[in-house]
Order: sequence, then C-alpha cells, then structure tokens
Amino acid sequence: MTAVGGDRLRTKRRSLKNESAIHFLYILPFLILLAIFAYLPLYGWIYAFFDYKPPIPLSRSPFVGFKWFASLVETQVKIDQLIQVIKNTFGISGLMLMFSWLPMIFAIFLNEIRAVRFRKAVQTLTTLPNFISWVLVYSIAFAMFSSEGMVNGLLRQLGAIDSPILFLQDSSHVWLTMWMWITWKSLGWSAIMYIAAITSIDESLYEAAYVDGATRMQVIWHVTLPSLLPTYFVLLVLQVANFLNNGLEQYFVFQNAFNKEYIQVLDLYVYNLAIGGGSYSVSVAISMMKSLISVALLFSVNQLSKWLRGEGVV
Amino acid sequence: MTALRRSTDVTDIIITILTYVLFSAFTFICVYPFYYIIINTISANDISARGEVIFWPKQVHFQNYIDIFKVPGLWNALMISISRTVLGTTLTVGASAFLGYMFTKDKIWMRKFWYRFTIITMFFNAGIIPWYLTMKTLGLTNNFLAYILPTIVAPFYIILVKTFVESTPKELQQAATIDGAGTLMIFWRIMLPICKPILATVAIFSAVDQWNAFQDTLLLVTDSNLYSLQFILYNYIKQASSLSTLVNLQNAGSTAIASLATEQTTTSIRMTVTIIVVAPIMFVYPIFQRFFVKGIMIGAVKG
Amino acid sequence: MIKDRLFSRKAWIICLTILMVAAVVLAGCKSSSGGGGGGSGSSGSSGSNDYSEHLTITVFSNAANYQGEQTGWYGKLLKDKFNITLNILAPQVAGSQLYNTRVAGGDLGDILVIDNSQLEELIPAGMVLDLTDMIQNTKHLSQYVEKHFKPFNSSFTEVNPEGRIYAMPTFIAPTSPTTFSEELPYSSPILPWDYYQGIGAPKITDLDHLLEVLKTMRDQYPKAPNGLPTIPITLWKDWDGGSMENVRWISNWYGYEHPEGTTTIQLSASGDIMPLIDDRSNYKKVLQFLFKANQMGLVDPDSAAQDWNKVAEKLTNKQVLLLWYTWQRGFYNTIARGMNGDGYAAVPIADVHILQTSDAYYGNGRVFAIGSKAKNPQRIMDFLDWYVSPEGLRYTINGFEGFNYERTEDGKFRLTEIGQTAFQDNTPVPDEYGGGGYQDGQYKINSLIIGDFGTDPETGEFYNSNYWSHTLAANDTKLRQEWQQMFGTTNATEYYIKNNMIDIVPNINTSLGSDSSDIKNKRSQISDYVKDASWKMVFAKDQAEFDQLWSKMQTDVKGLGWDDVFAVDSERAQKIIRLRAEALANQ
Repeated sequence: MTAVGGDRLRTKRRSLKNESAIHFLYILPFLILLAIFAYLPLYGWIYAFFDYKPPIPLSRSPFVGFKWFASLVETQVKIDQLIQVIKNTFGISGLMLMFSWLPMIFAIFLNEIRAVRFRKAVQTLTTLPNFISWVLVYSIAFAMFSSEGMVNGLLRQLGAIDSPILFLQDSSHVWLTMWMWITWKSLGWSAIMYIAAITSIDESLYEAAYVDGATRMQVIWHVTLPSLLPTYFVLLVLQVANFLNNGLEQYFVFQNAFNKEYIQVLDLYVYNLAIGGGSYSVSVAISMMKSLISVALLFSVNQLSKWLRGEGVV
Repeated sequence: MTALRRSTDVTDIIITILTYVLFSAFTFICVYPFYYIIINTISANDISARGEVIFWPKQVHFQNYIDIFKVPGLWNALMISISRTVLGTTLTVGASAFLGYMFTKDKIWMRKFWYRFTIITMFFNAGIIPWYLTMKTLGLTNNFLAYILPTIVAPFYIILVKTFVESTPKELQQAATIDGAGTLMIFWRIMLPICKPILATVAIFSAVDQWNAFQDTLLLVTDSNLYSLQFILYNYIKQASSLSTLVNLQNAGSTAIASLATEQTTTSIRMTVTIIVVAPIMFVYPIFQRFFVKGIMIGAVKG
Repeated sequence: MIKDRLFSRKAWIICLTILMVAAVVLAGCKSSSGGGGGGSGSSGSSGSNDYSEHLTITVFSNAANYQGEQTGWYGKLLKDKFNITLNILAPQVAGSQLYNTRVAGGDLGDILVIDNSQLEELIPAGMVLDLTDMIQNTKHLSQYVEKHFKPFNSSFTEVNPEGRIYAMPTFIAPTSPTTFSEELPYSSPILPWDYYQGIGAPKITDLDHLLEVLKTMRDQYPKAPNGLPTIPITLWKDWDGGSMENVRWISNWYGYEHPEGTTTIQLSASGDIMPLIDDRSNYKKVLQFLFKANQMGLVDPDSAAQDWNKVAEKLTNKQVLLLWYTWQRGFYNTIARGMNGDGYAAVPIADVHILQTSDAYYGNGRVFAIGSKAKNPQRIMDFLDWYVSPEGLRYTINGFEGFNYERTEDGKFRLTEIGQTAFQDNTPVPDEYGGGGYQDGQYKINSLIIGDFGTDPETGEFYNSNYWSHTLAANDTKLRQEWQQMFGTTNATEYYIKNNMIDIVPNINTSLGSDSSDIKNKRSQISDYVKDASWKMVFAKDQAEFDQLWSKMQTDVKGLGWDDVFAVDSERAQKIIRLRAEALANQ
C-alpha cells in the first residue's frame, strides 16, 4: 500500500465519519421537534404517583406511590372486572390480528380488475365508510337493527320471525360484530397503502413471469405478494404493539347494559372510570402502563421477526 | 408496448367472476349508508326521523344545508381548516419523505437508536394536562402553529416511506452517487419522484387527519378566530342536543326547554355536517388517485 | 425534468399563498387575543363608568352548550351597554378536561359559571375574587346579599370560615324556601289526556293499576297519529349517573329523592336515609314496577340501545304514553292541539306522595364567580349587576319589548305573535337590534343569577312568560278546562297540595364537598355496576332472575367499597337534613 493509498483510505474514513455526522445534523431539527412534543410532556407520568386533584397544583398534592396501580386489583370483584376487560381487549384485537391480511388481499385483487373505471370507482367508494364518525355509524346501525328498524321489518315481512331480534343488545357475538364494523369502516382506507406499494413493483418482474407462462394466481403468488410482504410485516408488528389500544369511540357508542360485559375494552374501561368521577391520576397510571406494554410488545415482536424472518422491522 | 399474453385457465375465470361479485357487493355496503345519509339530509326532517326515508328522498328540501351555511364564523373556520390542511400536509409529507429516506441510510450517527426513538413515540400518551401545559409554555395556545408543529414528525408515515424506499432498487441511488450526487440531491431529484405513490398515500392520510382534526382545538384554542371548521360544526351539533343538561337544571324555566325540544332533530344535523365535511375530501381524492399509477419503475434501472 | 417535479409550479404558488394567508391569520389572531383591557386590576377603579375601551370577557360556563363569541342581538346589546364581548368557553362542548387543563394553567376565566363543588375547590386555591366589598356598591345585587348570597357563601364553612362573598348562586327564585311555583311537580305521572278520556278516565289507585291502565290504553290506541306503534313506557341511558336516572325520578313519586352529590342513598322529606340496595328502598320498588311493565310487554324493547334523541322523536310523535318530567309535555303539546283536548296532562295516582324541592330560594347547584385573574372586575360587576336588574332579566329571559312582548293596558306584559314562536322559528331580528335570528342571538351563558321566578316589579308577575296572566288566558284550552273540571283545582301542584300528596322540602343549595380520589374511584365503579344491574333487572326473564340479580348486586357492590361511599353519602345527607331544618326555622 503506497502512502497515497493509505492517505486515501484515511480521508475516506474521515469523510465517512463526517458523512455520518452531517446526516445526523440533517435529521436533528426533526428529532428536536419530536423531543419537544412527544418526550417533554412525558413528565406528566409523574401525576400517576400522586393524588392529583385540580386545582391544587402537583407540588402540593400528596405522594401516593403505586397506590393507583394497586387499586386496580384491590378486591376480587375488581380483579374479575379487569380480567374480563382484558379478555375483551384480547378478543377484539386478536380477531383483528387474525384478519390483518385482508387489506393486502383487497388491494391485490382490486389491482386485478381490468376495467379501469370500475376499479377506480370501487377504490374511491370503499373509502367512504372511513369518513362516517362512529356516532353517526351508530345512528345508522340503530336505524337498521333496532326492533323497529329495517332488518327486523324485513324479517317480519318475510314471516321469518314473530317478535323482533334485539341485535344491538345481543351479548353473544359482540367481538365478532365489532370486528365486522371495524372492517367495514377501515378496509377500503387501509388498502390504500398496499395499492401504493403495488404500483412500485417493477414491471419487468411481471413480464418475466408471463413469459414463463404463469397463470394469474401464480403471478400474484410469486410477484405481487412477495413485494407487499415487507409492508405487511411492518404493519403487523405495529398492530401487535397496539394490541391494547382499541380506541374509544366505537365501543362507547355501541355499549349498553346488556353487551357491556363483552364490549368494554381497556380504553373504554379507563374512560368509564375517569368520566364516572375517577381521578385524573388513575387514568394517567393506566395509560402509562399501556405505553410501556406497547413498547415492550413492539420490541418483543420485532425480535421474533428477526428470528423467524431474519430481519427486524425496527 | 408489447401485448402481454397470459395463459388463462378455469381458475382465472372463476377468480375474475368472484372478484367482480365480491367487490361489487362490498362497494354496495360501503356506499349505501352514505347514500342513506345524503337522501336523509335532503328529505323533510320529520319524515327522516321516523325512518321512512330508505331508498329515495322524500319531500326534498335543502334547508339543512342552508342553515349550516348561516352558522356564524363558518367561513372563517373554513379558511382556517383549509390553511392548516394544506400547510400541515405539505410539511408532514416533506418531513416524512425526508426522514423516511434518511433512516434508510446506513451512515447516520446512531441510526438505529434514533429510529427507535422516533417510532416508540407512537405509543406514548402523556396525559392531557402535561400536554396542555407544555403547549402553553411554548406559547402555542391560541396560536395557529399549534395545528401544525406537533404533526410534522409523524412516525407512522415515516415508517411507510422507509419501507417503500427500501423496496426500491439500490442501484438507483448507487448510480447517482457515482455520478457525484450528494445525499440531498439524491433525495430531491431521485427519491421524491420515485416515491410519488407512497407520498400520495401519506398526503391523503395526513390531509384527512388535518381536515378532521379538532381535538387540538378543544383545549388549546379559545379565540374564535382560530376555530377550525370541524369545531364550529361540532359546536352546532352540540347546541341541538343540549336538552340533556337542561334536565339537570331543576327549576330552569320550562319555556326554554320546551322550545329547544322541538328543534331540528340532531341526527339530521349530524348527517348534514358529515356530508359537508366529507364532500371536499371526495373532490380532492381523485387528484391523489392519479399517483397510484404503474410505470414509474419501467426502465428506471436499465436507463 | 419538469415532469419529474413532485409539485407543479401551480401547486407551489398555491402553497405559498396559503402560507402567506396563514401568516396573516397568525399575526391577526395574536394581536386580538392579546387584547382585553389594560385597565387596572384592582377593584373599583374609582367606580368610573368608563366603557371606552372594548373588553373581551372570557366566560367559563358549565351551563353553556355553545363555545364561541356571543353574537346576535344579545351580543349587540352588551356591546352597546358595556362595550364588552363575551367569549364563551363551554366544557359541554370542549369536554370536561377543559376545566382541568385551564385550572392547571392557572387561568380559568374572567366570569365563571361553575358547580358548587368546583367553587369549593377554587376558593382555597385563590382562583376566585373576593366580592364582598364590590358587591356592597351595586344597585341590584346588593339587595340579595342578606337573604341569599350571605347564607349561601357561609355554608362553605371549611374553605370560607369568615363568610366572605365569593360567588352568587344561579337560578335564585326569590319566593320562599317553602313555596313551589311551578304548575306541575318536576316528576309526576303524566298521560295523554285524550287517550285517558277515551278509556273512561279511571281513577288510578296505585302502580299496578297504572300498568293495567297503560295496557288498556295501548290496546285501544295501538298506533300514534303518524302510524308508528304506541309505546307505553320508554327508557334511555344517556343521563344515568349513579343509578338508572329514569328509576331515580320515578322514585320521587313515593317520597324519596336521590340528593345531588350522592349516589348510594335515597332521602325522604322526614330525613330517612335509605340505601339504594336495601330491600325496602323505593329504588327497588320502581325497578320492580318497570320489570312488571316489561313482563306485560309495555316497555320499549329498544330502551337500552337508543339515545335521548331517539326518545325525543318518539315524544314528538306522541308514541309514548307514560311521561314523568314536567317539561316532556313540551315536545308534543301545543295550544292548537290543546284546543282539541289533545295533549299530555298530569294524572295523579292515588297512593303517591311526591317529594318536591321548593323554589330555588338559595339558588341551584351552580354559581357565578369572578376569576382572580380578571382584568377589569369592576366592569364585570357592573354587567352582573345589570344581569339581575329587572331590565337585564327582561332582556335575557324574554327578549325585547316590541318584538317578543308588548305592554298591555292593565300594565302587564303579553307575548306578541312573533314572541310565541320566535325561539322555535329563529325569527329574524330587525337590524337595528342586531340582526340575525332570535334563537341564534340568545344569551349563550345559559345560566341566570336571579331566575325566571323572580317577580318583575313593574308587572308583579314572574319573568317566566308561561305564568303571565295573559299567557295563561291564551292557554286556556279545552285540555286545561277539562282537566280543571275533573280535578277541581287550577293545576296539578295545587291538587297535590290540597290532597296532601306532596311534600315540599326547602331547596338546599350548598357544596357537599368533593370526593377524595379513593371515594371517587369506588363511587364510579359502584355506579357502573348498579346501572348495568338495574337495566338487566328491568329486562329480566322472570322474577327469579330479577331476585338473583338484585342479591348478587347487594353482595358485589360491597366488594367495590359500598360501605365507604355510603358513609360519605350519609354524612352529606345529614348536612342536607340539618340545612333544611335551619331554612324552615329561619323563615
């Protein structure tokens, strides 16, 4: 190695380090934004360890340690409640995980439609339910499924039943019905991500497949699907991390005394606690736990992905 | 463009038929509720309330819409909403594109750490009071920027872009580097155009988020000049359903309650608001749809 | 490579324009919100009536269901009189966290319309102004200090030992602590009059008989005028608080109320404290009643799933037979229908003994206070003084003379044609008064200090136009006349009083303290449980299931901390009993 070559190597290493630093500087402003808006407010988790009652400021509030966390499992009745709530959350999140591939398949087969106008129309129109707020969805659901609603009216006209079926108060298929509503509402919209991904697939791959005489299904299996899998797995990992976060609105509008036992997911349970006059500190305690569990889940599944597929997502 | 011949078989035909049937059915159940809402908003309110408007509008009137356009502050709120949607979306798309791209580069100081630093914020929820206090300390109460700044760095969209970029051929970037292009230049001239589909996706998602957002207004903004469209309309809906709290005022004059009681039904108001809020999105959406077009990658590597 | 640009030139121009607009908006709003009186913060700046500087006053109102600036005719009125604009903040719109966040931030608002319990918290935190001195100098407010404001403020013994005046209660009815001025008790049995006549107007003896009557009525009138089915009893869950709200109010018929601020007890006029879960409680009695009703097929099967809006529709359509809130009549009753004897009217049941709180002599659960950070307390005080003056009350409650009402020869007021429907029709107001619709321009604070049962010194009648002699004369419909003939009194309240079927207890207004976090959590869990169990009991398959649910509830709530919450509630009830006795003694 000549002296010049050694120099070049050194400058290359130095410029590599510089490049690292420069790239970091590029993203630094954004990281700062993140630090301010996402990390700074986390000091608020302290409220979970105090008995905070506004307007008394935190500095004058009594410190209670892990009291709120313990209070969730104080008595047998509470433990039973909490277990049921967790079961509900698992049930619904579980169903959603089981069918997490639906948007992908939706996008793939949508893409298979040759008629451009029809395809575009379907794509646009299937996103409509996403824009209807849950409150309004419930109004529509009520209009359709109440004892005087359309469905019961139709069934009665056909002579299928004598007295109305109380769909909305039914407690036996709650998870399934909730899952169906979510799917109806979000399928078209979530498929957008996969539709975008499909358009980036190199056309030459398709050409090669056709030249080899592949049928449509084979093309999908060997070309389209594999290209979408990276996106799918990323979203899957995120979905697992979000296991405990079902959201509030949907379950809130559909809940009533009869289905409450099975519809009360964790988010709704927390809301009912807080709104019923529960203290602010309790809701912070619970949301803190959920955050920590989500992050833990994220890294666990990520590790799993590394073992199974050879690469992680995060 | 050579016509591509594919071998067809029975499964192909079955699949085609099934596809058309299933998609049509699903589209129908997506569209019908929306159609139901529209015809109910233009039908006489009392007939609508009785649930008699199912397939066709009855006694068509547009009063529901006219009433909404008379809501004070609506036009100002519309301007606010449009501004924040355009500005917010632009910045979010830009930031997501840039960060999504940067995080694919190996040569960043502590890349993995910073990436995780960014991603895990998706699962954080610090609680409403510290968030409010933070915003207040930063001077972001009653400030238009409160609508924009917190949304710029959006981990989910960054992930989407990153995944997309990772699926593009590495040769593109390598070729450009050999040609002497720097990181920023590669981003601007090569990655941005290639990422159009995913950026369009991020743009739609982000635009809809901004357009529909109003939780941020609820607590941060008390200056009525800054109220967004969604908030004004939400206000409007709330007024119509105010009866519930009047109940708690024991001796509140029956006059006020009785009168309010016979107002427009809240459901028809809610429905009208939904249509007004969704209509602009439906008009803008086809613009983004244009980006879901194949062909960008043809010859990209070969050329 | 122009084609490859992500944004076309046009899009860039649009974006830049928007950015500029945003900047302008930003600049504009910062200056306007920064405004608001540079006047001295100290009270009574030499009592000057200098209104030259425009003031935006932030009003934090628990009662408001609108958030934004007060516009329309009322807004113009205030601008002309005091050069102020009210900016209303409404927790009902923005959510209950609005209170928490603003309080944490140190500035709740200039004018506060808050609950008693919130006042109790804010006083020690120093967030409300001491009004004792300012209020002495007012023209109208000072009249109410001795009898109303002082006793009210003094009852906050823990945080206000010196009895300073921090707040003015809302909806004060300056009649007396033992008068009840409304024509119907707040909750009593109400049925459609024409249907009642149609089935022979039987004298209803008790709840079981009521069920039979409802059944007969439904069989005879199976469909409402619009063709939809008749529903004898309908329930809804929207307002359920500590228990099933519907059950709570029907309990009043038999002499037990659920005092505000408690969720586990029922209280009678004589001071008997009964736990909800006791086998002898009225709560159980009413649940049993509804259960029976459901067994007979008289209860709306959609009750558990519907919301209040749906119920409102049913009421408007005359589908529902049994009502109990006095104001529910307003959904269907009109003068025109009344002329045909068609409408809802009170139908007493022989064995009821209604518990009714008196007129709100001491106000009603909420207060008006001035925030400690208010910049111009004197002007706010002037405004509030006007708010309780006869002029202010007339404007706020009834609109303005010449538009909503007119003077008559006998010196009284009468609603004009416009006035009768101005609210419902949102009739346009003449421009010189501010323009816009009448209803749109109404006061959005939604709460009064002196309520509409104050007496107008000019006419000697209540401000509430329903009770004006002219209105009563106009409302003298066939319905009213038939009713009066059958029951022999002017209105239902009189009937109940005459026949000893009602106890009017003094309306006590004070804070009963707020829960510790412990109790709060227990209370909310117990409430949830009780509510769900109650609904299930009403719709239970049979008596066995009903009983089983009831006993299970009795055991389960103990596990949720019932005894602790019950102790707190009993203490509160004791305070109420004591204050009632005092009010009677001080009369």
